[in-house]
Amino acid sequence: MRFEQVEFGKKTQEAQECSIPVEIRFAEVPTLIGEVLDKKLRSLADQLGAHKMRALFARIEECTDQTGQKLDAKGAPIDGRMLLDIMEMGEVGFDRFGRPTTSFVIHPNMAPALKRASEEVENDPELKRRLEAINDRQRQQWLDRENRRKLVD
Amino acid sequence: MLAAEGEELLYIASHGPFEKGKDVITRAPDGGIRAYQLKSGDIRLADWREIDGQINNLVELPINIPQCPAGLSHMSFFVTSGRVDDVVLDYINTGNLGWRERRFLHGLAVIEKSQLVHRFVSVHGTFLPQEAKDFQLLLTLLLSDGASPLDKPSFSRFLLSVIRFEDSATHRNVSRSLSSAVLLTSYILGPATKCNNHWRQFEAWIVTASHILAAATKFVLSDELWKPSFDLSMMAAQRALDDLVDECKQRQQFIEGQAMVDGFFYGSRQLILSGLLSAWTLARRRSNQDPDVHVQRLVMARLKESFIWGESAAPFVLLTAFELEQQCMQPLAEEFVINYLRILLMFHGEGMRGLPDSFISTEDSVRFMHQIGEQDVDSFQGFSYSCQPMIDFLVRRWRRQALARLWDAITRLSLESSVPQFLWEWFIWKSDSAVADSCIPGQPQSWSALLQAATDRDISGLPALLVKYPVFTMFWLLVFPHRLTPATLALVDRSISRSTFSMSE
Repeated sequence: MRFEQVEFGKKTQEAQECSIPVEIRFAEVPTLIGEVLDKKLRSLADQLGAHKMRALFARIEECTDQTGQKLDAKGAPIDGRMLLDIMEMGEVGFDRFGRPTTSFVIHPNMAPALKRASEEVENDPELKRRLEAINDRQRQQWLDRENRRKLVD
Repeated sequence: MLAAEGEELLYIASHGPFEKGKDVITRAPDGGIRAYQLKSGDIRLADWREIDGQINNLVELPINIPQCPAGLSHMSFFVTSGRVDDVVLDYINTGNLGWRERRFLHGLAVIEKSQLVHRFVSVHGTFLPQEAKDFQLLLTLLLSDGASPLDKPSFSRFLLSVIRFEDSATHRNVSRSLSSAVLLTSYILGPATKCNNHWRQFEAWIVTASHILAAATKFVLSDELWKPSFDLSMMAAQRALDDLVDECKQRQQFIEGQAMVDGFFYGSRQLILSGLLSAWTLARRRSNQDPDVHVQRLVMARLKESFIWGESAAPFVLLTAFELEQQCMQPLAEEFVINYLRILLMFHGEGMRGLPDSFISTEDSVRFMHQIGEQDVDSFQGFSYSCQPMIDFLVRRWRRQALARLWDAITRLSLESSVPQFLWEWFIWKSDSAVADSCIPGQPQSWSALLQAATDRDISGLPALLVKYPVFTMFWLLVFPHRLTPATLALVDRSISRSTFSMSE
C-alpha cells in the first residue's frame, strides 16, 4: 500500500506474513474430535490472533515513535497524572451527542491500575479541573477538525 | 485457425447476408487469395440445392475489397463442421469440370469435419492446457451453464494457461497461442451462444482481447503477431453487443428467470443494460455512424429502473453519463453521477456496512446488498475505489457546489486506487504486482487544486495499447471494473470528448 503521511511524505507498506506453525502428532489423531478438536482449533486461533495483535502494536509503536505521541512510564505504575498526559497527547473524536468516541486498548493486567488512576482523577480537584480543561480543548480541536471538512477556494 | 496457419485475414463477413458468397477472405502465405464459405453440420443434397446460388457466387464473382487488387483470381473453399454427402461431392466434382472449362481454374475445394479436426490438432494441439488442473478448468468452462454470468477470474486463469506468458516463449509461439486462445474462447462460448447470452459473450471476448494486449505488451510483439487475434476478438465482442441491442429493441419487458425473485437482480440488470447500450452507441457514434434513436430511448428507460449494487457498477454509471452528455442531456448525466456518489456515501455512513468494492462481482455484491445467503465479508466500510474517479468526473464539469455539499461525507472515506506495477498486468484479471494507492481527501480541500488535479490527470503510466484503442478501453472498463482509476477514467473522458476514435487502427 502506498500513501502520503502528513509531515512524513510518501510511504509504502508491504504486506506482512501472518502465520503460525501447526503440529499434529500421530498419537493425537485418533482422539482429535469433539471438544479436543475444538480446544486445539481455539488454541491455534488464539496464537494467530496474538500474532496479528503483536504486528498491529509494532506498527502503532513505529508510528507513535515518529509522531512523538509516546509516553514512557519507565516502569512506574500508571497514575492520575499519567492518565491525563495520555489523554492530552492523543486526538479525541466525539459523537453527534458530544460524547468522546476514543477508547483505551490495554492489557487486561493493567485494568486495575487504570481504574485506580481514573478514581484518582475523579477524587483530586486539581486533576479533575485538568481533565475538564483537556476535554474542552479536545472538543474544540475536534470541532475545528470537523469544520475543516469542506471545499474552499 | 486460418490465422494460426499463417493466412492473413482480409475480410470476415459481418452481420447479415454475406458478401457474394464469401464469409472469410484471406491471403495465403504464398500470396494467393482464398475465399471461404462456412456451414455447420452434415450437407445433404437438399441442403446443397438451397445454397447452390451462394456457391456459384463464391466461385464465380470476383473479390472486390480494398485490400485485394482488382482482377486477381481466387481459390474457393466450402467448409463444414459436419460431413459432405457423397452425392454432393459428385455434384461438386462435376461443377469443377464446368468451372475449369469456363476458366475458373481453381474451382471449389471442400473441407470437412475430419480435415478440420486434423488441422486443429496440428495447429492448436500444443497450446491446449498441459496441466491437469488447467484442463479441468477448460472442461468446467465448456460445460458451464451458458445462461449464467461469466466467471471472469476463472476464465482469465484459463487464458493465462493457454497463452504463452513465460519469459522464454518465442514471439512466434506467443502469437500462435493467441490464435488458440481465440479459438478456444469461441468453443467455450458455445453454451452461451446457444442460449443467446450476449452479455456473457461480450465479456468473454473482451477478456480475451485484453489478454491478447497483455501478451503484446509484455513481449513487445510486432503488430502482425497479435493484431489479427485482437481484431477477431473485438469483432466478436461488437457482434455480441449488436445482438444484445437487437434483442433489447424487440423486448417489451426485461424480466429474466423466476419473476417471483427477479426483483433482487432486476435493477442491477437494468443498469448493466444501460451501460452496455451506452457503450454500443458511443462506439457507433465515434465510428461516424448515426446514433440509433431507439437505443437512446432504451438507455433512458433502463436508467430509471437501475440499482447501484456496488462499486463495480461505477463504469456502467459513467458510460451511461457519457452517452447522456452526447444526447445533450448534460444536467441529467451529471445528476446521475452525483446520485451514485450520494448512494456511495450513504452506505458508508455511520452504522452502515459500506458498498461492495470494485473487486466484488455483480452477483456477490447483489447478495451482500440484499443479505442473501452467507456473507464472506461483513463490511466494506471506510474506503472506496470509485469515489475519486467520480469526483474527477464532476470536477471536470465544474460541479463545485454539488461536491461542496458532499465533501464532509467524502472526507470520511479513504480513496483507493489499485495500480499494477507491470504494464502488461493491467490487462489480466488479477495483478500480483498491483499496489493500493491510498489517500485521505483534503480537509479542507482547495477547489482550484482539485480542478487542476482532475484536469491534468496523468495518464502516462497507462499501457500504450490502452491509450491507442479507446473503444476497447471503454468496453474493457465495463468488464474489468476494478481497473477504474482516475487515470483510466481520464483516458476515456478525453477520448470521448475528442471527435475521432476508431475500433482498431
